[in-house]
Amino acid sequence: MNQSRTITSTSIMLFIIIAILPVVLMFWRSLFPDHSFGFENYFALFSDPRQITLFCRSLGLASAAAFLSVLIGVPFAFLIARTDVPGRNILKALYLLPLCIPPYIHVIAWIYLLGENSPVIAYIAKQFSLGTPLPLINIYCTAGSAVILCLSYFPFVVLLTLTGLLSMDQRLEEAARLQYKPFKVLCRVTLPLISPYIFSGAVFVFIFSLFNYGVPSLLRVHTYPVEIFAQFSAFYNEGLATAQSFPLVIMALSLLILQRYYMGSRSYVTMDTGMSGSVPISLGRFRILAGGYSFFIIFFSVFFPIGFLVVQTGSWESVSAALRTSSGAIFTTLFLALISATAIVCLSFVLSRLIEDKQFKGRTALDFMTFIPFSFPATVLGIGLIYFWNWSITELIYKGSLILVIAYAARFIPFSVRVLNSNFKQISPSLKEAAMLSEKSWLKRIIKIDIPLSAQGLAAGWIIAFILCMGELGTTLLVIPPGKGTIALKIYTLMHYGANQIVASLSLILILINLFFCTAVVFGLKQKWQTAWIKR
Amino acid sequence: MANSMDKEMIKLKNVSIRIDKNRVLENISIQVKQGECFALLGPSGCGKTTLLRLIAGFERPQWGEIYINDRCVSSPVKEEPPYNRSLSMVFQDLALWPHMTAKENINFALGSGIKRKIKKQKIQEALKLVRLEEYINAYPHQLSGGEKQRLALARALVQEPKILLLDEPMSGLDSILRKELLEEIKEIISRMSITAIYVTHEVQEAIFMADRIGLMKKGGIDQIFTADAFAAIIKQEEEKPGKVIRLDRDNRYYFKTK
Amino acid sequence: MNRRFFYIMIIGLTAILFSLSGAGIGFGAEKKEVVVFTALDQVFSEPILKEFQEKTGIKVKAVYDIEATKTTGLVNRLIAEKKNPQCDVFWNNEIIKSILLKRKGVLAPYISPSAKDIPEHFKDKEGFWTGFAARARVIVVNKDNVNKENYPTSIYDLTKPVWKGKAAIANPLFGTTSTHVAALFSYLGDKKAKQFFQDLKKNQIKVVDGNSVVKDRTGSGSISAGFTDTDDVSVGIISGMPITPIYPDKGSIGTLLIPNTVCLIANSPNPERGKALIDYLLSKEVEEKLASCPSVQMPLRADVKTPDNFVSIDEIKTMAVDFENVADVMEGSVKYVQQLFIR
Repeated sequence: MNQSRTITSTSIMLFIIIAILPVVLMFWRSLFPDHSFGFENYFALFSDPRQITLFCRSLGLASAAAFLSVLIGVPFAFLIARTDVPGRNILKALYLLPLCIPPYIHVIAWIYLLGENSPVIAYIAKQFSLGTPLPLINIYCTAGSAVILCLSYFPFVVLLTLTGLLSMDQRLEEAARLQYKPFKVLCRVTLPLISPYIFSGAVFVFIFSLFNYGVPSLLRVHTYPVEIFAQFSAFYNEGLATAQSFPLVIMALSLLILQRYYMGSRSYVTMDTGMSGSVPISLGRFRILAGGYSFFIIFFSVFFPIGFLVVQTGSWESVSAALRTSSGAIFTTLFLALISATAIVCLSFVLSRLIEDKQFKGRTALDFMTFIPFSFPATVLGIGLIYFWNWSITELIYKGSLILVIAYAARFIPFSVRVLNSNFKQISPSLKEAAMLSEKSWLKRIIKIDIPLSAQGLAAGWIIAFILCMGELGTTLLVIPPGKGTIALKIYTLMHYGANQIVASLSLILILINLFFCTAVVFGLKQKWQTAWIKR
Repeated sequence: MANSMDKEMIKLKNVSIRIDKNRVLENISIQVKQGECFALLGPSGCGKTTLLRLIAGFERPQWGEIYINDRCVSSPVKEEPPYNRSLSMVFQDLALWPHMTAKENINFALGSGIKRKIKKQKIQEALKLVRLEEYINAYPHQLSGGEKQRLALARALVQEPKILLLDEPMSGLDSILRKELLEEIKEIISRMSITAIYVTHEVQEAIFMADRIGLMKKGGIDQIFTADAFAAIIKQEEEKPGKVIRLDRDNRYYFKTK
Repeated sequence: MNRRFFYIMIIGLTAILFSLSGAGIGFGAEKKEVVVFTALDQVFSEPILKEFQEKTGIKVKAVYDIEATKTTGLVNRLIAEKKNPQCDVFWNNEIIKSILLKRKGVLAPYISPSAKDIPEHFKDKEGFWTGFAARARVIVVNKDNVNKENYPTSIYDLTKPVWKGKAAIANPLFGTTSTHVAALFSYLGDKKAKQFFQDLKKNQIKVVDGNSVVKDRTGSGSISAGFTDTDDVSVGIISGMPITPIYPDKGSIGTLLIPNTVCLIANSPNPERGKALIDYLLSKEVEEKLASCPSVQMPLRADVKTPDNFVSIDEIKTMAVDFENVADVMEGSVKYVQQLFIR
């Protein structure tokens, strides 16, 4: 019907305008160095062997962080979703927090604990009258960066694995459990079935680690993204900066090809979403061990950095001072993040449906398109947005906060599309087809059937988009309307002068807001289907 | 004027489709009369389900035309959406919406534009028809296998369709339950004089349910028998194995020999 | 679809879109406002802008740059917005980027009456940018680690074996460190500058994330000395770090001074109010304020009141660099140190 045509084509148009055209524009401009067409910018790529080293190091760093995240995230998700691990409800409430803590805080906390001249080590050395500080682990290396990045980003893997585990038909597991031990069931049935989720989670960690320069540079590890920054801030060569983003885009696309190849024509549909809350697996004598493991992870990814922030904050006065001086920024950020996350999820929902729609001819093209802005550096995207929107006719958009919503959408739609795609892969198409037999209204089918069926995925997508919007920095700075500010900007402007108390209080406020809204979404979802199929 | 019983309810004219290597149908032409039950019998992967989905409108044929009640619903230039084909379907996986109770499942299948009071009455009737009145507020996962099957049937019948498509609806049920349900379905569709297409790979099911049976092999309908004639052939086969029909490995799939 | 629901949705969406769009800004009587992009840290620049707002009734809308994005932000935003400028005044915390913006055609000339008594050396001849309140590039030393008699007095001291592995420099691609690099290339010439940086590398100088990190690490004692800015050192001293700034090379090449600069943007939306802001920023009052705040910016005018113990401009030797030439050699010199240090 026309309704569906209108909405889907509007969505595709919107997506292309918001996320694709600014990227295309930047590539187009990079083809005209010195106002004449040429590939000079691209020939200059990797002409310097130093850059190859940096690129490989960045790749290695990001892969290591992603690998480590899967290694700790998947067991963690499994423990809290399927077993009687002690304190699983607390763990479930806490695991998302590392995402809300700026990675910068993680690394500062670690330097405080393990860095050269750390006050902690000095204190220990003094207490036990050890002459020289203890020779502890050297965190100033690529491996150290990978571990810290993993600790700040592994919740992506947990969140997605958990979503997969919750929306999967547990009877598939139960069937296997009749014959095999839980561990074998996990490896042979559960993990393969939720692998689209795990893969998406790993991709997120990979992309974020790849672009994070704060953590490695504080640990004195030089990485590739800083080269792109240098093109901007030292050489003002946006063409070359765009060209240097190209390898990253190529890499993101090859991840997609890898994913498609791996998934092939496998089906991840769980035939019937019979979700009666089954009894958690009893861990028996491993219960304490598993509890210790989960607590260990939560301790180092949540309690440790937050504790550090609390110590830095010092007193309630700093928190109230931060609230007083930054209430405007807090309100703006919250308002924008709520609207952007909702808009992002709505748009991603339509796009993901199309990508999963076997009858839609452009689905492969669309799938690839959603991967392009995925790995486009925030700064280059911001410049692209300026060129694209800063005209007198589009002033209504560019001069207002709408440009920020557009910027967030451009940056984060790929993420929520990935989440929703994993979710749609699990939903049997016949459920939608059955609805097509009777209900004429497309919108009604969507509201009554599609949306409830993907509730888990939508919630996960919204949470991720919300947290990311709350913390966005690189693009925000370039397009924020003068006179406005966001919490993230405020934190980073204050950070330079070591206004540590305010920075720490603002970070705590940011964390609390994120925690509140994410819990509200999860809780609301549970309430809605309390008696129904998602009974956990 | 032709007798109403002779009216062609479903007509496929030279329909072809190619989705991928495994899902190909070539040049299919069949006619099903009103009130008739037509079974499609064949091994898995021969295209039975695809054929059913073509009729339902979930797939679009590349060539040929499909008529329902003498109205062209699909041709290379025109395609009616599923909800405009006055048919309903019982899916292989039943496709009961897991987030809706029995009542809500049926209610949604009624579509929009009906008064609430009438809807309520129809839901009651449909549940009564399949003897599920007491499960009106149960979610699908709270029902047993047979009950789910009956709910799926009730959901399909509540729309009072002229045509009912059944895609191996009995898979996953034990044989006693299966027989019981088959009888129920048969009774209901003949009472309501519904035209039905029944897809299965079970010979006895096909013989029991259908007036005519289309034997399928990969990519098309091989031969059409009346149920009686086919039953006779099967009987003959059982007496003298291998002469007329060859059984495959697990004695279920039937192929005609040269 | 329920029609009423549909209408409510449409109205809600319109309301949200409207509140987000720039339309809210344009409504009502034309507001008296001025837009400024500020590269000087928000903690120091915001009070001064507020003061201007209170004095004149002109609303100041500011965007503050952040070091975390390697100060890629505002200058590139100005370049990208050139066709349809949104900003009136750029308050730069250094000078080379202003020269660059002039060359890119982003700026408009404006000779402010307040700038009359600012030395010519710190003003653009055509008035595209005007300098005020400067920071100095100093060597920060940890007082606990180093005896007073061993303090370095020249930047060359850090190439000596005693400092091997004990000194630090911020990433030379960014911020004032890159300005310092380019100034040395401009002042010493290619050959000598290259030699100097090679010697630093040979002496295992540590390349850290930023000037504030140089200060933090010197303060914590993990290194003994490093190149940084006066404002960073001052903030460190206030927070109780055992550090002190050394103004190097008093007898030879001198200390590099990097002034704040303020520029008017070409075709800006509110040029008159922009000029008013520039006049204010170039006043003695602002120089005085910047001198007495924790960032201790050095007034360029001799007659500005400064706090006690303040190292003023006439107490040090200023490195006599030609800023235009520094901007010329910037790209080449930064590329060189990038090759050398960033691996």
